[in-house]
Parts: sequence; C-alpha cells; structure tokens
Amino acid sequence: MGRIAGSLFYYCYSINITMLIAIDERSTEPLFRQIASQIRRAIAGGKVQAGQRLPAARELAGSLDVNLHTVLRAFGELRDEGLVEMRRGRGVTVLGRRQQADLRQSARVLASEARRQGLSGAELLRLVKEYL
Amino acid sequence: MNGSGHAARRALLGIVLPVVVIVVALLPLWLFRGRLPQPLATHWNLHGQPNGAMPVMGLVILVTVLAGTAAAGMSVFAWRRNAGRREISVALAAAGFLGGQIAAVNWLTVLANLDAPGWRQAGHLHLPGVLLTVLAGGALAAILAWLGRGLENTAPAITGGMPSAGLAPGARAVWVGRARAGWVLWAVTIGSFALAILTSFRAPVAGVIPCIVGLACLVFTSIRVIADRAGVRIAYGPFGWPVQRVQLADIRQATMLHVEPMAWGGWGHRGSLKIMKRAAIVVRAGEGLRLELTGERTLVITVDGAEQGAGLINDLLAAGR
Repeated sequence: MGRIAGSLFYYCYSINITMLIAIDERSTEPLFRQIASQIRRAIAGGKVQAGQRLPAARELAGSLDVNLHTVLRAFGELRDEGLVEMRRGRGVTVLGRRQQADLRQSARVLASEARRQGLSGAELLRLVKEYL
Repeated sequence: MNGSGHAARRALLGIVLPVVVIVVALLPLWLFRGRLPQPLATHWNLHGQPNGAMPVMGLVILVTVLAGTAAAGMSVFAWRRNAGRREISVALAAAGFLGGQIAAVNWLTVLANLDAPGWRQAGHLHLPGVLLTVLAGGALAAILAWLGRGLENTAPAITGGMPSAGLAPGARAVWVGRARAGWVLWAVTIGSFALAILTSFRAPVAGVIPCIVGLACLVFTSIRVIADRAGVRIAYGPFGWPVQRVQLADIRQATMLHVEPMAWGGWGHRGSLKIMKRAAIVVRAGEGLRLELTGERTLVITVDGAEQGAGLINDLLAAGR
C-alpha cells in the first residue's frame, strides 16, 4: 500500500520525457552508443529536463528491436557520466546536467571524427592539450 | 461560412441556455423556500398521493446535478465541431428535452408541496401536470434543435504539411511522447476521491460510484504515446494501463493539429472508431497527433512533440511501402 501511494505521489510530479531515438545497424558505432548518444543530445539540447523519466529499458528494447542489455548498457553509460540516475522501482531519471551532457557529446563527436581521420588516441590528446 | 453568426449561436446554445435551464430548474426552490415542508414530497403513487420524501437540500442537490448534466450536455454539443449537422441538432434536442423536463418536474414538485404542513399532506400530482413536463421538455428540445441546425462540421484545418522526422532508410526508431492533464482534471479526480471517502463514512456502498468516477478521471490525467515499427500505443494514467494499440498497417498518414477539448466533446476518450469512425483522446488543450486510419477513420491524440511523432510515423509508413 505504501509503495502504491509512493509511486502515485511520484507520478504526480514526475514527467515522462518526449523524445525520438533512431538507430542504424549499418553504422560502425555500436548500438548502445547510438542510443546513449541520442539521449545525451536530447539532454544537451534542453529538450529533456531534470527529474524527467526515461522510457523503460524493456519498452525501448522492444520498440527498437534490440537486446534489453543493449539499452541497459546505454543507460549505464549515461549513469557513469552522471547524467542520469537509476533507482529501483522508479526507472531512470535525468539529473539535468545539461552543460555536462553538451560537453560530453562534443567530446564524443571529436573522438569519432579523430578516429575517422585515422588519428591515434595519443595524437588526439596531444591535439586537445594544445588548446588547454 | 458566417463565422460570427455561428459564434453567437454557439454562445447562446452553449452558455446562455444551459445557465437558463439550471436557473429555471432551481428557481421554485428559491422562490418558495419558506413555504415548503421539511422534508418535502418528491414521489407520488399512481393515484397521485405522495409516497416518498426528501430533505429540501437533497432536492436542491439532485436538481443541480440533473440540470447541470443536461446543461453540460447542451454546452458540449454546442461547441462540438467534429460532428455533422444532424448529430449536433439531435444531441442538443436530447439534452434540451432532459433539461426542460427536469425544470418542469421540479416546478410541479415544489408547487404540490406549497404551504403543506408535512410531506404526506402535499397536494396531488395530476396527470395534466405530468403531460406538461413532457411538453416543456419537447418545447426546449425543439428550440435547441432549431437553433443548432446550422452548426456543422468546421473542424480546424491541419496545421502544416506532412511532417517527417528524417529517418534514414533502414534505420529503426522509437518515439515516446506524453501529455499531462491540466488542473481541471486533477481537481475532478481529487474531488471524486474526496467525495468517495466522505460518503463512505455514511454508507460504504455509496462511495463506490465517486470512486469509479475518480479512477476513470485518474486514468486520463496523463498518457504516454509510443510510436514504433508496430504502430502506435497509448498507455493511460499512472499505471500505464489500459493500453490502446493502433497497428501501423491501419495508419494511412499522420499530421499535427491543435486540439480544443470542447470541439471534440470535452476531455477523456471521445467518440468511437467503430461507431463514429472518429475518436479523440483528450487530456488537455494544445498540440495533438492526428492519425488518418484505413476505412476513413480518424484518431486524434493530445500529446507533446506531436510533430516529431507524426514525422516518425510517416517515415515508418514510407519505409514499409
């Protein structure tokens, strides 16, 4: 009873997000990265705000026709970056560190561009250091 | 179309007449408030003798609820825009008939009780008087049907063209949208549950109906809309249940529109895809998703980010063709 009341109370003020996630199997980027990247971009773009809930992992996995673990791995990556919070029974909520999400997304784009141009990790770090 | 004439007529049908019905229905109770027995007779047997009574306040509440329902019906249908001429006229006439009858019955009830020392001594209810109530209802129905005859389908045009989300060929995608109700629906929900608790103190059974009303409202306090390769799913309320599904194969195209709840018959699940070939899931005013379905059916869903959702649905449809 307490749990039902708790989740009802939570429902009254928490909001599910509105977002589009598209993945492409032919991309060289792993699927979990593609998913994480789009959620990150939504947070960075300010479309998703703190306290909002991400769709359930099982639901996303079903809709995107990917393994549940792929989605969980994407959520895990975002949690490790401190962008979302995962709590039992409450799903995944956005912590709303918009600028951090923005910066991480830029870093990710930079890294993939460097990889595409054939730069090694060390070379990229050296390049970044020039601007510090 | 003579838009301003329609607006005036809608205001008359949707605001003025409903208020008149409520006022006229309650008027005798106020006019003769000092001259009625407590309780007063509210039911008569076939010979016209009183055999049932109710406190004056009880009758006031009953008449308010009944006349209010009739008035709300008139109001809703007068502002309705997604219905045909005849549908509006018939609905207005039905609501008017109900309203007129309630008002007339209340007048008869009060007049029969006038100056009686107790409800058992209340006057007879004669057959001509009962016939008069039917006439009053009929007269109001005729007026409403006549006034409502020209109001027809003026559904607002679709805003923008065919949206696209720019989905790359071969890519898979999901769109999740949601809509939350405004304070009105929350107030009704909380009010219903409060009423359920209050009435339960008197008689537990009495709490059942407001409880059901509260639950029905709670279900519409928010919806989640999920669009993917299977089609569109609408999950209602805090528990994400019930769920309504529309197969992708049944969708012809998706667009975005602006939803005025009164134009769709109010809040909640309006209309029926099976019977009226038109349905709307309305939890708030504002942007909505319009799905054109096979068999000339239309489903409207109020949801945030509807353009993106419509775009993805169109892209998925294009990919499947």
